[in-house]
Amino acid sequence: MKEQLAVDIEHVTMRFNMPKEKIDNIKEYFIKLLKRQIRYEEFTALSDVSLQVKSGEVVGIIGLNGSGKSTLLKIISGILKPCEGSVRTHGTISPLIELGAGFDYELTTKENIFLNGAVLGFDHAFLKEKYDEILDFAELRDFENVAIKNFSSGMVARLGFAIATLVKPDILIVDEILSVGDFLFQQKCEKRISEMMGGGTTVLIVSHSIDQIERLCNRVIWLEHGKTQMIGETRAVCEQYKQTGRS
Amino acid sequence: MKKGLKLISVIAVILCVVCGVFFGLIRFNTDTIDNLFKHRATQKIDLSTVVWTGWDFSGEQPVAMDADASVTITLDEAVEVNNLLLNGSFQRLNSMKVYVTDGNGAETEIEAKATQKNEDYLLTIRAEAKQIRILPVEEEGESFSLSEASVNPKRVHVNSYVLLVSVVAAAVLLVSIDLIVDRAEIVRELRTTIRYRHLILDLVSKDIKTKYRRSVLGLLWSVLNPLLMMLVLTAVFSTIFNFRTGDFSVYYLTGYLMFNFVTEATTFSMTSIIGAAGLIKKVYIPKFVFPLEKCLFALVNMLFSLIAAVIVFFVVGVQPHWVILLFPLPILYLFVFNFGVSLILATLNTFFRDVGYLYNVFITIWMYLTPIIYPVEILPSWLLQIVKLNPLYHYVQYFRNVTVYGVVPSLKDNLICIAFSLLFLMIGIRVFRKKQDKFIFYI
Ligand SMILES: Nc1ncnc2c1ncn2[C@@H]1O[C@H](COP(=O)(O)OP(=O)(O)OP(=O)(O)O)[C@@H](O)[C@H]1O
Ligand SMILES: [Mg+2]
Repeated sequence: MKEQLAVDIEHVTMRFNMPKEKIDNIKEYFIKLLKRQIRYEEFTALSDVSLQVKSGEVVGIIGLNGSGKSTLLKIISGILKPCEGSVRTHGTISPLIELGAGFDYELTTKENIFLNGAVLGFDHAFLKEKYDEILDFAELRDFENVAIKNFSSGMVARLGFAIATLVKPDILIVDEILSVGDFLFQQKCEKRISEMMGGGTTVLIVSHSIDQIERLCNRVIWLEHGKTQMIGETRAVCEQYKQTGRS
Repeated sequence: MKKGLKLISVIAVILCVVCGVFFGLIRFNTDTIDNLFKHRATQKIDLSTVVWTGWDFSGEQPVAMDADASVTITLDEAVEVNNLLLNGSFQRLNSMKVYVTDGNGAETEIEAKATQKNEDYLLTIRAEAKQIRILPVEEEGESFSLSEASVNPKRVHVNSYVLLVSVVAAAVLLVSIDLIVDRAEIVRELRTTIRYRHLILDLVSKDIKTKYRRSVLGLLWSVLNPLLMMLVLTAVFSTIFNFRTGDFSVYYLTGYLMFNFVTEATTFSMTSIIGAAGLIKKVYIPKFVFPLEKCLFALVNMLFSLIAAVIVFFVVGVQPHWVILLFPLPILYLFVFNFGVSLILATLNTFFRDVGYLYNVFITIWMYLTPIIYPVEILPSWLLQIVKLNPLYHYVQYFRNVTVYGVVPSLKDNLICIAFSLLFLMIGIRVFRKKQDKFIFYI
């Protein structure tokens, strides 16, 4: 019997049409259309990427800036639709791509917990129950009634992480978010992710810290200019990846 | 598989439209189509029942004895007559006077146009008639003979039904085939939506809080606003339209509440996608949640404003009839209609921001095409026909009939409202789903 795939990415290609100038009114659009002047600069952010992740696996995604890592994660979590190919996922997804979606910077920590919690699909009763746990984990008890516009970026990230990891999802998607917190908080986050992995959660993680990738992942995919450069055993791929920088 | 379904859907839609046009628009003289609507078939007139008053029958043709010579045709029952087909020979067909007697026995003179069609003369009469009296002459000595006559009932109602129903059917088909093709995605959207029900409620309550933040009276404005509007307009218009003051205020208020529900829902929804840019770029949320949330917000406002209606009903002394309990029905119909229109507008506005400005102008025109401040009765019939094409006319009238006039809505009233709601919902779903993946690049 085939093992259950948590994430199945098949020949995904993502192109961005970048119109040379921004057209957002009808008149301009029709004038341009008549003159056949709508020119797009096509940019291929991902081309023909395939990846199968088994349930419970931890897969790292590495690559230089602009190689398409975040784009891939956004496609997996459904924020973007691929131009070609398909993505199938199995189970609930917690995307830690950009923390604090729906944060209103004018509102206080307390209000934002409920707001962001709702955006992530939690109900009020549940959030009330977990309220203290969130504050404790984010270490923001003293800032309970402070508007988050007065927070440092690390503090916002902590709050976001604490809410996003409240429940154990089937699939956890992590994009570089661990880099903002201080080293103590990073350790705490890593511990929480490890706990989840222990509980059978499938994890996809993007990080520029090769150390972290080597510590956490079973397998690694290396993207370069949107193409799969290498895919396989963590150690082997990381070795190769480090080589490129030197040569 | 996908291609096959698409092909079937296209064929089905074409069939629907062809049927709609065939039955709906083209008028046939043959009886085949009429037989489909048997009770409305052409009615032959027994010439022996025709009463000739003031004619001299001594010659070959009846000749008028005086200027008031008339021919009276009595029908079996009162019907909505569309035209009267006469076969015979006439002098000066164009100068006829036509009087019809309706089912209640009241006789009125109507404008009737006569045209010649081969051997036949077609007299176009648009009225309910039990009896038709024709004065074919203005002078003595004119002749008028009749060898055959029949009336064609007005078929316009049936036709427009068929047209509306087939267009709706086409839309439903097109969209449902689309949905079957995309069923995996739909299941996913619906599942996440259930997860996000709290978010929807949160957003609605956040909207309500923001709307009334820093206003002392808060939600009370939802009640006061229509009341004040009503007072001002009643003062101005009730005399112009010869309404009793109480009648006008109730008439206006019911129309205003419904119209305001539409404008609020659609204008809020229009910018909902752009307004949710922060969320859409960061997490996956089914995008229709945002226009839906705005429509719900407008619904809450509308329900609050109903308090104003209750107050005015008491003050004016509207006699409550049990039908008033049906008031949620037109609101529900209108809600679905609003959601459909909102999906279309939200999509358009995301790509072209100037849709918002155009829509403002459109709303003004729309308001005048809806009987809110003027009574329907003042409209000439040609204008009424146009106004009836406006879906809002039907919702507003339905709401008024139920709440103010205690009229039990007919099946026809319900069908028209449901058809418009479904039609716009289906178009909305189709447009929105086609474009929703591109939103993220334009916000
Ligand atoms: N919405 C968009 N419109 C146009 N181009 C985009 C868009 N999003 C991403 N891109 C392009 O796609 C490419 C890949 O971007 P992506 O964010 O996936 O890179 P990344 O691997 O995450 O980089 P980093 O390491 O800096 O986070 C970039 O060159 C970027 O310019
Ligand atoms: Mg990135």
